[in-house]
Parts: sequence; C-alpha cells; structure tokens
Amino acid sequence: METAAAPAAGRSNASAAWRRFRRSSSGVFGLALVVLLTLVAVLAPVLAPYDPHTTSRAAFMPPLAAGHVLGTDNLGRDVLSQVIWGSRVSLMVGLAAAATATLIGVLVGALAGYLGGWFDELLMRITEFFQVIPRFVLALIVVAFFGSGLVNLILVIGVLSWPQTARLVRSQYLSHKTLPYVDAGRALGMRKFRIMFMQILPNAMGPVLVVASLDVAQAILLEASLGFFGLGDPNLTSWGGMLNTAQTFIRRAWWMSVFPGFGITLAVLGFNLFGDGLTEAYDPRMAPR
Amino acid sequence: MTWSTVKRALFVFAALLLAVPAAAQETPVKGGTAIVILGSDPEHLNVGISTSYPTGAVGANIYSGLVRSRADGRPEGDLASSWTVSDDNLTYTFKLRQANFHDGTPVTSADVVYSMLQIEAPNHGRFKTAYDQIASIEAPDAETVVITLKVPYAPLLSLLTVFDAPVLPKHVFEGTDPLTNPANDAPIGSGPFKFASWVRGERVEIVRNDDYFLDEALLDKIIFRIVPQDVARSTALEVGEADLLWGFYMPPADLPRLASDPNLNTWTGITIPALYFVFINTNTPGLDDVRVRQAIMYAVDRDQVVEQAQGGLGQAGSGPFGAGFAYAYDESTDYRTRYPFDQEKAKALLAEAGVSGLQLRFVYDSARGAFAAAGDIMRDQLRQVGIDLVLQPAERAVMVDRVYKGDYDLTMQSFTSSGDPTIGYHRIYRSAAPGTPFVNATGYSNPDIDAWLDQAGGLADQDARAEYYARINEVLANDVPVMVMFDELASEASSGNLRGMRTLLDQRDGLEFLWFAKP
Repeated sequence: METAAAPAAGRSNASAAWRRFRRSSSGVFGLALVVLLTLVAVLAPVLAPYDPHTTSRAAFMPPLAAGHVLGTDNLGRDVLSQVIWGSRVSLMVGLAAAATATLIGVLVGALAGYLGGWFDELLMRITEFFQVIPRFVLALIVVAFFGSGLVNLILVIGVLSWPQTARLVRSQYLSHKTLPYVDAGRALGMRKFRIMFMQILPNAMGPVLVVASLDVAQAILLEASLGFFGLGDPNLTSWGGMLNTAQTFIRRAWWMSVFPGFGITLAVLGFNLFGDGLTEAYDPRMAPR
Repeated sequence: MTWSTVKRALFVFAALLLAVPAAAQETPVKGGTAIVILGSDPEHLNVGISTSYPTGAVGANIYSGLVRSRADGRPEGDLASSWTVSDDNLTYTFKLRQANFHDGTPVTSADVVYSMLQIEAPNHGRFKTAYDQIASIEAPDAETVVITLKVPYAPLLSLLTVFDAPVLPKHVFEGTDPLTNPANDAPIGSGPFKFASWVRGERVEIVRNDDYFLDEALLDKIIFRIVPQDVARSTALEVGEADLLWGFYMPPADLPRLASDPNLNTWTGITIPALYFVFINTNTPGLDDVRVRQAIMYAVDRDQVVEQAQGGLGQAGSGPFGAGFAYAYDESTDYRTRYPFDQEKAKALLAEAGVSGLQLRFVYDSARGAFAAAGDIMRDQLRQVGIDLVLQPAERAVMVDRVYKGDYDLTMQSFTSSGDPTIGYHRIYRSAAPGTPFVNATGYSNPDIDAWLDQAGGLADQDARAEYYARINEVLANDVPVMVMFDELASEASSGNLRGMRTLLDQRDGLEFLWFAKP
C-alpha cells in the first residue's frame, strides 16, 4: 500500500480511475446498459405506447399483433408497456436497497474497523449473523408478514444486504487507521468521527462503490424473485410480478415471460459489468484478466 | 319390518341396480394413499365452528353429521339411521345408529344436542342462521334427537350434514371454550377417517377408521398437501405428486391443459351452486351512498372477469342469489340487464353523488389467483371512472380477520350455497354484527330484507318462496351492498386411476368412496 498516495485522494485520482474504467470494455458496456435502463425508467411515460394497467378483451395477442409490439397478457394488457414501466420498480428498488445496504455497511464497518476492541467483536458477530441468514427466505417471510409495499421491499432487501460492505469497509479502516495521514490527523487533535468519515472514508470509497454496484444487481434479482413468488406489490408493474402471472400461461403465451425475463437479465448484467469496470478502475490488480 | 326399513331395502336395491354397470367393469379395491391438494392451511380442523373451505375438506371426513347428501342432492342417513317428520312440518325425530368416536366413546344424542346448542349455534356461520328457525333441540333418550322448529323451514335436512352440524364429542368440549379447545387441531370425530398428523403449512394426514359405522373407507390414508402456489398445484397433479385437485383451488387457466393430459381426468359442472361476489363496505365514506355502489356495478365488466380471471368457468352475476335456484332468480332484476357495463353511466352517478377522488382498498386472499386477476381488471375499470383501487392481498387468516372486522372497502369472496340459498346466501345479506366470519360484512342492514329472508326460508313451497325472493331481489338490485360477480362452474382434476369422486354432493365430502383402479 503506497502511503503517500492516500491523503491526496482527490480529482487526479478520480480522473485516473475514469481512464482505467474506459479501458475496460465490459465496464463500458455495463455502463451503457445502466444508462439505457435509467433512460427507459425515467422516460417510461413517454416511451410506453399504452398504460401498463389498461386491460382489454384482447388477451393473449402474440407479438406484433394489433399494434402490440410484444403482444398482450392474460388480461389484455400491453406487454411492451409493462416491461418499460417495470424498469422503474427494478431500478428504484435496486438503487435504494443498495444505498440502504451501503449506508448500514459503511457505518458498521467504519465503527468496527476504527474503534476496534470489544465493539469490533460485537459488530462483527452481528454482521456474521446477518451474513449467514438465508436472505431470500427471510425476505419472503418479512414481506409476507409486513406487506409488499415498495418501501418494505427496499428496507428488507437493504437490511439483508449490508454485511459484505461492512466487512470490506472494516478491512479498509483496519489498514488505513495505522497510516501516517491518520496519525497526523490524530496528532492535530481531530475528533474520532471527523477522522473516520471525513479523512478515511473518501479513501475507502472505491471498493465500496464496486460492492454497491454489485449490490444493485443483487437487489434487482431479489426483488424480481420476490415478485415471481407473488410477493411483489400488486399495485405496481414489476418484472418479477409479470413473471409470476406469466408462469401460469407459459405454454400458451411465451411472450409474457420472455420479455420481462430479458429485462431482468439486462439490468442485472448491466450492473454486474459496471461493477467489474469499477473494480478495474479502482484496483487494477484485482481486475479479471 | 317397519316402513323405513322397507324403504331402505328398496333404496339399497335401487342403488345396486345403478351400481351394476360400473361394477361390471371395475370392482373397488381397498388400500392405497391418495394425495389431495389444498391451497391454504386450514385455520383449524373443527367444522363445527367454521365454514372455511380447507377446514371443511379435512373435517368432513373426520366428523359425521346426522344426514348426508348424495350427489343428486337427496338426503340420506349419516349418524341418523332414520327420521320422521310431523304432519305440521315442525318436528323432526331422528334415530341414531350405533357409532363410536375415534377414542372409543359411543356417540349419543347428548353429543348431538351439545354440538348444535353449545358449539354450532353460537359459532357456525351457516348453522347460526338456521338456528334462528329452531325452537328446541332435545334428546329424550340416548338414541333419539328431536328438533322442533318455530316455523316450517325447508332446508333443515341439508343443514344437518357434517359441514353445518357435525357431531362433536361432548366429553372433549364440555366446560371449554370451543374456539380454543386443543381438539380443534387434533380432532376426534366418528367419521370414516381418523386424524393422524398435521404439519402446519405442509400437510394433514388422515387414516381409515376401521370402526366406522357406514361404508368403510377404501383408502388406507389420505394426505392433504398444502400447496399455496396456484401453478404448483396443477404441476403437482401433472407430475403425479398429487391425485385430486378441486376447482376451488384450480388455476382456471390450467384446466384446458389438464383436460388434454392423458394421465388425468377432468370434470366440470355444477354440484352445489356457488357465488363469487364483492362485498362493498357501506361504512366506508362514499360507499354509504347507494349511487356510488351502483356506479361500481356499472363500471365493472363482469363478463371480462369471468372470461379472463375465471377462465370462462362461470356465468356473469345475475342477482343476489345467482342463477342456480330458479325460485330465487328474477328476470326483471337481472343484474346483466339492470347493470350492463356502462362507464358513462357510472361517471354520471358518481358526479351526481358528488364523489370524486375516491380511494378504495381491495382486500383478497392472496392464494386465489382468480381474485388477483379480478382485482387487476377492477382496478383498471374503476380507474376509468375516477375511483382509485389499491390491491391488498393478504394471507387467508389475515384476510378473514380484516374483512369480518370491517377493515376493508371492497373484498372478493366466494360462498357456496350448500344446496339452498337459505343456508349459503342469506347470511350475505342478513344484518350481522361485525366480527363473525363468513356472514354479512358490508354493514348493510335492512329489517325488511331480514324479515323476507326469514319468510322465504321457512316455506317449503317454491312458488311461495319465489314471491319473497322477488321482493328481496328488487330492493337489493337497487341497494347493491354486494356486487355479485359470477356463478361458479365447479371443476375437478384427478389422477387417471382415481375413482369414486363426487359420490356425495360436496366434492370434499365422502372421500371414503375414493379408490385406485389397477393400471
């Protein structure tokens, strides 16, 4: 670990990271997918040809029939419009849950890593507890019990996803807290929390962002899985919810399951590749060759 | 030889004649285990305090009633070997058979009287309604039960089946609260099967009662498998992991596929008329206005619901009591002509009522895919007239608790008539205090309707009944506390070698007649 570079974590570091990111073709492809997904989600009202909730007697229309590019579902709803609107739920849950997880993870990791001692022990045991919980099963139970509103989904997924971030942040703090720039801060009489969050955190953020972007992909997948099991919010159009309906009709209307499935795949792939690109940008030694 | 034994002999002879053609091909064989699918876990197994479908499915085969209904609706003795009716149609005298509970205690008339008076009259949705017609239930000796009516009451016999008046062991329930007695989860009955085990959320197992007083069960064991996922139920049947799936739990969309499977048998038809309907909570601000309720009737395309949510297995709602009973149906108030799908009319009525921006909660059992699809259609169509519907699926027990405490705005439910509107449907419209499951939960209360329901239910003569139903239909067609969605067509799918289904009227009843043909 080059001690000199750490305190200067500023603009030049970020632009170097961006240069390295651009060299990763999969990272750029991932970023393109993420941007595309974001655009579709933001522009859903403009892009969708129909209201996704509008039913009609024209059910099970195959793709390209009667102005429905991707066909209609069992209640005559336009599949393309549902796929477009579904991106909103996926993105929102993905981002918000990953943000929640990152927030908790950073807090726990920073406190454990910097303060150490019995406090570290305690926090790490809690982290391990959350790490070994079967996430999907617990999410199923919690959502079944407390209802499947968007906020619930975000909180459940977020609260179940932070341990990896916490362990990562802790390890960062363990190595950073012995470095000269931190000693310098302490010698100047800075308060603990100032050192933890103003000094060390900016230097530890790189790997955290990588994990956060992978968390987004995981959260999107988890949300879709819950939706697939009928535990999504029935008032929102989501890809998982579409798949849940589609499974009944899989032999009759393949288009009901293929297109939302495609959406999930692209979104998850996008955030995963983006995360790979970030890895390469922040820590070239860890990048996949 | 008494007259009733002659009649029984004749009946047995006739039954044999009818049975001969089938018997010539296949002879029932004993043994085997059948797996029957339930869509949700029973809350408990005591049919005496609940009209819940899964509770009935298991409980009906563990307990016995005084009478049972053959598939054609004809009543015959279950625990009662015979009965007589007085000339004024007010007094029914039942003679009991020699029978034992599964713990070896003999069944006596004291058990019958105790079950009806102490357990079912206060707690059972349908029996409670019927009990209002009953003056007394007495046991002059250990083998005799005398039921005296206040007024003649046509459907009494069909109310004495195991689904409405099961005979529970007095010695187990006496001095306890029947709602919390542990025997509700490990029942002791006198029926063809004995309770064996229950893994909550997974399976209930019952085994043959070798000491049964009637047709001894052919199967060794029946496993009720709880499969909450719609699709998994059809799949379980297709891959041979289950043997019997009733229409109540069938994803309607799957029926055509199951019908084309050479390894399965499917059946559709009417057994007992059943209604699917939407309670409209008249205590919700906005829904207390009759014009708003009428607007909802106009705004929803019930044909689309039948076609898409029910897979066509139904007929759009025609009136408060459906189309299954000619005397209770009235063409002049048929909802299909009175309330055609007309969203302009709906908007006009809402405007007239001065209601705008109404947001309503639609509560339904999350295990029922048809309800979810109906909710999607209703949400879309109500939105077109300016009503915002929020779908709130809930696990069955939670749903029941919420709905019957009045914590909902609209809710979809399905009730079976149990063979007579008096038993199954009157409770939908009769005034009821909140809190009792499976009765009127709309808050609608009309003393005229209550009185007419009583009158209609007391008459054996169908023309006379029809007059009261016509009056009721007219008032309810205007007040619409309940949106009748459709009359259900029953269905069933079963393994190709399973035999003996639907020997009795209710699909869930008479599982002792099930057997497996050798492949």
